Amino acid sequence: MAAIDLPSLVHRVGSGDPGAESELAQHYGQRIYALAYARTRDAEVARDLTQDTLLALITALRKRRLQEPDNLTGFVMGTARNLVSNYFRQQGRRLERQVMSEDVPAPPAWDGREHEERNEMLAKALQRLEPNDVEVLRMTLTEDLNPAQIAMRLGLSSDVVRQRKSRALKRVMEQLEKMRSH
Amino acid sequence: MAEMDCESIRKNEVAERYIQGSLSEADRDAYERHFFACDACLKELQALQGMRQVLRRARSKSWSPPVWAWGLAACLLLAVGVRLALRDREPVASAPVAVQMPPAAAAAKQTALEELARFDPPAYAPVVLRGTKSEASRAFSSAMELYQHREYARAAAGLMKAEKDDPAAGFYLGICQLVMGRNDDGVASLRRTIGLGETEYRDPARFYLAKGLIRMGKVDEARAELTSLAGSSGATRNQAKGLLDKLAP
Repeated sequence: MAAIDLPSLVHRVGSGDPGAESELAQHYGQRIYALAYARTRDAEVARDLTQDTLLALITALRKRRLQEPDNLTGFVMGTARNLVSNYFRQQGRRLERQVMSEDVPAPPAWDGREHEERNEMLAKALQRLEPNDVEVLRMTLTEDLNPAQIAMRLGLSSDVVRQRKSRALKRVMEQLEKMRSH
Repeated sequence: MAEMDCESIRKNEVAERYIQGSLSEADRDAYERHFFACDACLKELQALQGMRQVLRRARSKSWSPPVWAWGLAACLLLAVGVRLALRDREPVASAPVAVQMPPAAAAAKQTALEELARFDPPAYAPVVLRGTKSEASRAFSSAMELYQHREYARAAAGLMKAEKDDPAAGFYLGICQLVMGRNDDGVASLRRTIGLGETEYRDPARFYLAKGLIRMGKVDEARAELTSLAGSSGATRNQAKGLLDKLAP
């Protein structure tokens, strides 16, 4: 990911540059999704919350309502966290979309397509790992077990579990880089 | 609130704990501030979250039993009336592979072999019977409860206390040992199960024995086992044929 000049982007969005909105959505979309997915554990909800946060962000920038442009990231995180809290408060009901009622053109859509592409690459990378390393990752990521609990289940020491996990993650990251560069 | 750095995040497994939801509120907020600014940590978090989704999907898919398992289950259903009087447990079905994902062209022979050696531990469903149980039978039941909860090390310890000539205990002990990476022990347990003669566990044990042999790099032995199994009339023959085709030199 290339370095991004946030103050300049803020200025360009305020001046009505749609290209700047897309750049901003691309930069923050991935981060907001990671936060929303971790907190809600639901990919669909995380996608909606990401879109809503971006909508709030771009609406605020278009209307030059951002009080502290230097704290753009703080504003984005704060908005995302508030929307996640709203989601939990209203669980079971449709998300409230306050900013949608404002008379502004729609901001660029963030559909999270890159997540599906990444997941396909991850599936391939996982296939290339030792089965025992995959088992450690599976227990960590889908059963929420810590190394001591995994160690007890598999009859290993916690250190060995940590080594396997760290080795597996390193190999997956290397594979991802390799696949992206092709 | 203290700021985090990449090194302490890796050392303290912060990303995994973030995904698990086990960080304190202060640490969670600090980590979010960090990955919003750090591309490397964001990439790692995205990879972990993606793997979580992939592995969860694979898990839910892997519960469809393979064709041979339906045959095995049907045979067991037919036999269950007779066996209920004698036994209190039956094997059910095996899930095919631990990670069912889109097929990828194998980049190297080793990678392909690792893929062929992979499996998900076969499911076990206990048959509850009235009446008194022997100590060995109770040990088996307790061990299999642990097995169902994926506590393989403790299950293996319990299965060692079950009857030595019980094919069910030997079969699941072998599976536990393979899952734990104790391939030598797993292969030995499965060979003992096969050596007990005509039991319902013999053919599944031969199939998983071949998997264990592949893991140990004994591909020729695995091939011989699968060739013999594929030529038999057992319920695992199609499964063996499929694996044998993929193992072709």
